[in-house]
Amino acid sequence: MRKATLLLLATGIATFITILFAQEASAIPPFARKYRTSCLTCHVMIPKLNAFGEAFRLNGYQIPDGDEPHIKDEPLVTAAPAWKQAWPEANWPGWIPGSPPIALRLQIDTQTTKEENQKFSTNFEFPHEVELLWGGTFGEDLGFFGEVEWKQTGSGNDGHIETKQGFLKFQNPLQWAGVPRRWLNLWWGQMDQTYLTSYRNLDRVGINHPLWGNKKPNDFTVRNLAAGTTRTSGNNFRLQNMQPGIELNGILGSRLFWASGVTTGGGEARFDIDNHKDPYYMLRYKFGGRAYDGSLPGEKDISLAPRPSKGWVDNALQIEHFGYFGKQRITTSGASSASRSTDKFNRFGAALRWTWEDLDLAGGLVWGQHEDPWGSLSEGRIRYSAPFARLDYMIYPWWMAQLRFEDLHMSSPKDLRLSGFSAGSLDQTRFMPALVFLIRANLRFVMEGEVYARHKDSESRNLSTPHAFWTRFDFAF
Amino acid sequence: MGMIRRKLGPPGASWGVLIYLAALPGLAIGAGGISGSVHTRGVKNPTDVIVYVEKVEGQFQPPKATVPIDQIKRTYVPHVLAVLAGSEVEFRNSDNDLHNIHARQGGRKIFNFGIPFQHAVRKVLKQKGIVTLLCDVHPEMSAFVVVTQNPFFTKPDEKGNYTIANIPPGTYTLKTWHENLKPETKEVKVSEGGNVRADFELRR
Repeated sequence: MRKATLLLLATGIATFITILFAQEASAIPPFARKYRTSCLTCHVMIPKLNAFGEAFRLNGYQIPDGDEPHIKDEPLVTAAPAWKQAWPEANWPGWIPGSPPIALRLQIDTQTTKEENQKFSTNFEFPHEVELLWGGTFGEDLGFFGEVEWKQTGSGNDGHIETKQGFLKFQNPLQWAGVPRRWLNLWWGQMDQTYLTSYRNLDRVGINHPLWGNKKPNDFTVRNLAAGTTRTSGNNFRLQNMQPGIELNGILGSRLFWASGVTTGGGEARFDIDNHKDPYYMLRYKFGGRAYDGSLPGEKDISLAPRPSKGWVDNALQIEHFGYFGKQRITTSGASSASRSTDKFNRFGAALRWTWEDLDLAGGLVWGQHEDPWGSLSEGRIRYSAPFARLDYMIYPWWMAQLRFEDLHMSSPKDLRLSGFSAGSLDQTRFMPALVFLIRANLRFVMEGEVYARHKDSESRNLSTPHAFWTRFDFAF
Repeated sequence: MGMIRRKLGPPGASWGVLIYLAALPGLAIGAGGISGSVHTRGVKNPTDVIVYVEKVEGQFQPPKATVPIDQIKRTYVPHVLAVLAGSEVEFRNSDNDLHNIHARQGGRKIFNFGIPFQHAVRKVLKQKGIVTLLCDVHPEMSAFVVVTQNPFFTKPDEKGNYTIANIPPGTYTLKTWHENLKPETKEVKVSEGGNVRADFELRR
């Protein structure tokens, strides 16, 4: 206990000191090879994107001011662009990447935990995850991206293979009808919906997922001590999951990003379990810095290179909001019976992100509710609220300090208690200090602590505090 | 639109064009010129731009010599050229491979014929506008011919600089064309013996 506390304390102090005295992926090695450019053209630290990388991602994996002259790995042209003029009598022009647009990514983890009255437990996950990634374009305005991962399951040596992402980005599909470039795009497939860019998985340099995206209703288990039964909501939706979906998005006036789409809403399931599609929307505005279309204030041209020595600097303020409206057919499991029902639920989020020189500060709130997560068991709702804050500071181009604060409150309906269930509210508050080192531009080493200030289960019972310390080597090539 | 098919011989048409240009009425004393630079962004072929005077009063006789465009290693060479309406273009196939010339103008096919290897075919381009050249055998091949009303056109050099000489005095609309960039126009007033400057910045 004492050693663990000292270790966590040391990490926390180191982070605090570095903050006192002194910024997470979708760009991958195939892009670096295609343009013969460093990972750091688009990343602050893999996988965190800088403002240029975000403009590249939003532009369908194309350099915003015109992709063609920057391509060094010559693609194989399947039809010259001039064939546009022969359409529909001929195929639309396109190309396939010159080199196979694939990459491997490995994550090698250690996890050290110590719960109350227990000994230290250190687990080696060598590797924790192996990913096969691919991405590129099939000619102008058609991007693609995908990810298949093999991951440790935590029991023995068995792992599982999962398709995490696989989608197409049709950029400017209505340009022929006079719709200005960047106003309207169509993204189709299983993708990271990136509801909040201030604090998203895509940019996660740390190891643990944000609480606001990670927790789901079926983490909420209640017991009826008199009847000796337990019940768990069948709804396993969480914002963190990359869902199959269709999204329309665009950039208006270079600084307003909008998106609206539908997902299958199947929670962790990859198939559509109930034929209902969940709609969502996102709005973001950026004051100052590099705009979403890649342009810089006062400059007419969109330049490729960020500031040479400090590619992460982007003095800007971003404000963003999203809404998600779900409906899921669920089975509420119990020891002796099961009931089927439909749970309508929603999530909303609002966040601010301020980036100034070496500092990247973000904070916001995700909230929502489930109308009928328990079926016949209860008429009540689960209410959900999750404030968060994140501070990243670049000490050197190869060294970043990060401090995350996350809080989560999920409350159970009162009538559960009236029915004799020991229901309460699930409350968690944690701080996550981390130091991140770029050993090479494509190799990251992370030390992350997880310190709980409050940790109550769904019955409001105080849990022993599972403080943990993690390390990760993460590299792609 | 006549068509002559012949075996390839030595090139020589370019000289004919120069001789023709030298004999233009604009060479008369008092003609002016336009020069300037063209800067392009976001394209791989920044000098494949044609700068041309949109309309000049009068009738202009096309050159007697043919203007060549070749197919070499499955590439049209040059990729972009301009000709005066009525000019005869010689389409060559210098490859040891079958090609065809699929030409489109104003959204419709104007001709499509095959050229056996080491042969050439001549066609007269009568209508002003952009003629797109494709090859159905090799879809990766393309080229463009800008067919103009008058002979006052040019292609910038490697640095983007251009000069159009021997233009009769008057006020004209100067235009640019690039396959991927938005066209730009500028009003220019050419005075007797003078030279007017017009610079362009072309974007997508």
